[in-house]
Amino acid sequence: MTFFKNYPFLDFSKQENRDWIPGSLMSGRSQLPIKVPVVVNGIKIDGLDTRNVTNPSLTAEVVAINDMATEKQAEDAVTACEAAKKTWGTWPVSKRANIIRKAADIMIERHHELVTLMVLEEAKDWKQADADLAEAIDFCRYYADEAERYFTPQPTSNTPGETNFYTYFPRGTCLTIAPWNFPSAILCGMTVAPLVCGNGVIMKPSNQSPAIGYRVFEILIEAGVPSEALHFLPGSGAKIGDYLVKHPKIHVIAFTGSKEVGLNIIKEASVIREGQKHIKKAIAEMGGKNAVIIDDDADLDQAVTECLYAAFGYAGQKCSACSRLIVLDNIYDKFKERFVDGLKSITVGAAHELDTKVSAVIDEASRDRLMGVIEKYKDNIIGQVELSKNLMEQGNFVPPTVFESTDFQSDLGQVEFFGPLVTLFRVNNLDEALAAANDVDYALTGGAFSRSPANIERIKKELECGNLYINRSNTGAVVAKQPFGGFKLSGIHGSKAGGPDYLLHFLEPKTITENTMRRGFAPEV
Amino acid sequence: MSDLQYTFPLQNRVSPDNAFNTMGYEAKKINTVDNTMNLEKEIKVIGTQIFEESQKASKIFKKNFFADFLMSWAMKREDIKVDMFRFVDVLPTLMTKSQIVDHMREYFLADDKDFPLALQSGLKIALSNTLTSNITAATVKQNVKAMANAFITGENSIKARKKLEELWDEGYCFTVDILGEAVVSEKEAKEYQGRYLELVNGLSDHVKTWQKKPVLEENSLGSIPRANVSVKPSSLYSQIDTLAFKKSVDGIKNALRPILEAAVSQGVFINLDMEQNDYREITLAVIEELFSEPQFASYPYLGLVIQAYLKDSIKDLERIIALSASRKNAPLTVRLVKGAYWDFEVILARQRDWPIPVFTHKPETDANYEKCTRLLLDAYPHIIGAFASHNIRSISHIMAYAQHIDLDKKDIEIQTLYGMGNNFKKPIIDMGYRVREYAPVGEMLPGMAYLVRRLLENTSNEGFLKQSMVDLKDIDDLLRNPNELVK
Repeated sequence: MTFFKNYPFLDFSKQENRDWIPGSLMSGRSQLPIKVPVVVNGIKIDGLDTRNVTNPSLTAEVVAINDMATEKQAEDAVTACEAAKKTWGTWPVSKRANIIRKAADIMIERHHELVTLMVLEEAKDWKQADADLAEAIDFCRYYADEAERYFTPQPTSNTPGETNFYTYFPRGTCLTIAPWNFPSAILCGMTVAPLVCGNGVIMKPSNQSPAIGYRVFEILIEAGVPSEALHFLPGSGAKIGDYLVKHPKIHVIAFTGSKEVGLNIIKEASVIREGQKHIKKAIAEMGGKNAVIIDDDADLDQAVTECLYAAFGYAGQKCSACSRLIVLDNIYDKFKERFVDGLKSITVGAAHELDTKVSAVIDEASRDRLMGVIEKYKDNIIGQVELSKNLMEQGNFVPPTVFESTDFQSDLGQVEFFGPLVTLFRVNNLDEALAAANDVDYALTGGAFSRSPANIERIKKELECGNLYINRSNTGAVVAKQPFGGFKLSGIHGSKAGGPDYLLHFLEPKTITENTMRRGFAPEV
Repeated sequence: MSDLQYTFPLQNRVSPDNAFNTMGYEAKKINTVDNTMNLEKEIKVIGTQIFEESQKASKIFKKNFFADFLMSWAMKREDIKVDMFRFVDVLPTLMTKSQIVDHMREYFLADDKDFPLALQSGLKIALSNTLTSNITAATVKQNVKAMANAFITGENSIKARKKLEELWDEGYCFTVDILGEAVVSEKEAKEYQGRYLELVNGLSDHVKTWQKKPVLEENSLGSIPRANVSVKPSSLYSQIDTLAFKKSVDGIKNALRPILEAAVSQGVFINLDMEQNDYREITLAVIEELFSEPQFASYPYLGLVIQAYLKDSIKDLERIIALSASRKNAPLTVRLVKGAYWDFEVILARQRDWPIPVFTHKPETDANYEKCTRLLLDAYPHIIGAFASHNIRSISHIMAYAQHIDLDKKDIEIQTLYGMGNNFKKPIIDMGYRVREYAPVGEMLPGMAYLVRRLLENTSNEGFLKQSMVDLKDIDDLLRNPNELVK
């Protein structure tokens, strides 16, 4: 059995893999601020309002100035996508697949520049940014392969006189609403999936990550996607996102973001509007309140190291992040001590600095919201990294914090914070651990550290999550190896990105039956 | 000089340059076919002698039913071995007897386990009621503890002293290594630093009173300290990261510096261990920078490790030889090992899809070990070689080559692991070589990880010990030149 080959991460232990960084940073900075246009049908639109995006680690630095699309551009994009049905949509699948593969090659060529941009625009540290781009490259290559598989018609019978084939064709125009936390990977994945299936795509990048989004768009066009098939609409989610979700000519909405926005999209997408002769598909990945269970025979060296990473990597701004640590009583005190000590040793700093393990959060609004949580639950704090006043003023920094609680129903146990905050809960046994872990709205990722084969088996069956990790960090899913997505209120329609079912969202199946008998004769007899 | 007086090692130093001139050492490189054939003959002679003298039946573990049970099944069945070692690995975290019993049931008696019926029925009976279960659990824990004790000299440095003195009496010198949990915080790193300092400051007083043994404490350049400590870089700094290169190097240096300062004032030998390949460049930078600082630049009792299973080992060794040659009267000592993280490196490289940094066929490592050996020995006295191996072929090659280039026996040493391969060590001592035991000190929990690794080595198909004990291979096979086996 052959498996997909993922694009490898950089080995930073080799000096040549570190030497490029200062030069790339300087050259990246010299291009700031990046002007991000709205592009419809290959044309950059003039005269729009603009919005600034600043470097979260250094808010004095303006990284991007993006134009804000209006409903007019949205409408034009939809019209162009209709035209794409006759061009892009009719091309042989391998032609489309090769264009998407070429985009991956271009990303590899421009690796340093793209990684540097994510460090500056989203305060991703170098390792996170490198992994993000590798995932974008993987999405291109994986979905290209998958499309070729789906577009090969499959026979469903072998009886003579009649041929039966099961095949797929493009579903229709897709609206992609992307998050900022995997600014190249998720945007790229949610764009190339519908694209390679032959659909026109309207990209609505996150307001916090327009520049890297624009690079992804540019690269796809450079690789050969025709201008009527792909449009780039940075702007207000409330305005143009809403307009397009309700648009009768949109067939699929691919969304990754908050539960509130996601559920609203699902609701609006269910309405059939004037001129609409189809039922829309809305796929949504909406976050988690992910729990990791620490069993009393866990290897603490492993558990502490992996959980520190899972909770605080990229300042906890991952829908997969560990945000609840459910620890069995016997091991609680030991785990707590080592975890809190480990936390205090973490270096918090600007994302471009090589020593930084945890950097700033994406914007002021996030920072203020998270500081509010810290204030509200200050009596529950058991450990926190002390940040200097300078650092707090320099960027949107939030001190990584560990809480302790016995109340699973509090915000600490139920609300997704999307920041460097994690809570420890003590339980008596595995029954209680599983019950607590499952008692949330979400079911995205989960984890457990245990060396009891029986407990591991039980956790595999009973812990409710779409991506379960045993004895390793519950973050860091890679394409094809770990198709990613959850259920309950974390996601809809089993939409696991980077998996063998994902393209189905963007395809319609068709069964084609032909009677091949003429005058009692058929070729195969 | 009375037997009871232990002189501070820095007296009676002969500088390497003087040694070179007065003793007429000259690196004779083997570059003729005749010389190679003669060398092979000598290797066979030496190897056969060691092998024959060690041919008494040897048990690693004395009178220990669980150990015999574990070792014999682990050698025969790879699948059983994995479960058994996982059980041993988790055992120290199990606090109550019922936890131990539960885990024994899960690891050995679950439906999907393919343990032989004889094994299973005995265990079923033992675990069938509370009384026998508790006794079984207690016995097993005790037996596993005893197994660990076979490889560990003591729970802490005070308790280890007795064992270290026994070793000295039996004819071995030592290097002490601290076994511990991984360091995940700076608080834990500081604790380790404290333990190393305690060792360095406490050992030299303790060893002063031991009987004088020239073989163990003198070479052509002068005295060798009796007290010798091996330090793991990753235990000194919790935030080692390949990307944060400079900070990692500085972090380790800052924690190591006080330990070296204490060593210099006490006359203790310090070795810096080499760990996983991710940290190798960082560790080499620590060596280059810290060992060159003024207060350590002339200290002759500093050592480091080169791992022969790494494809880059010759390159690293040449770099270290150049560093050592530039020091004044203070050559470094290189402990040449094969490498203890092979599985880990291969697994990690495959997962990451990076080039595999280690040789993937054991003969390649063995051949490279011999190449590194010659490079090290040829460079004497600018660098000193300490050869860590339990492989009779490898050891015979070292001895034969050293003889060939007229290097005195006292200018090399063989290093071995405490508790393993004891039957091969005595003949080496009897031949007049210095044998230094790598002597771990640590508690049961971290000791268990060490134990599991030693068990894996002992029972691996390619391990020298298993070959010679279980398979009874022909002596010629065991002493074959590894270059013949390299594809």
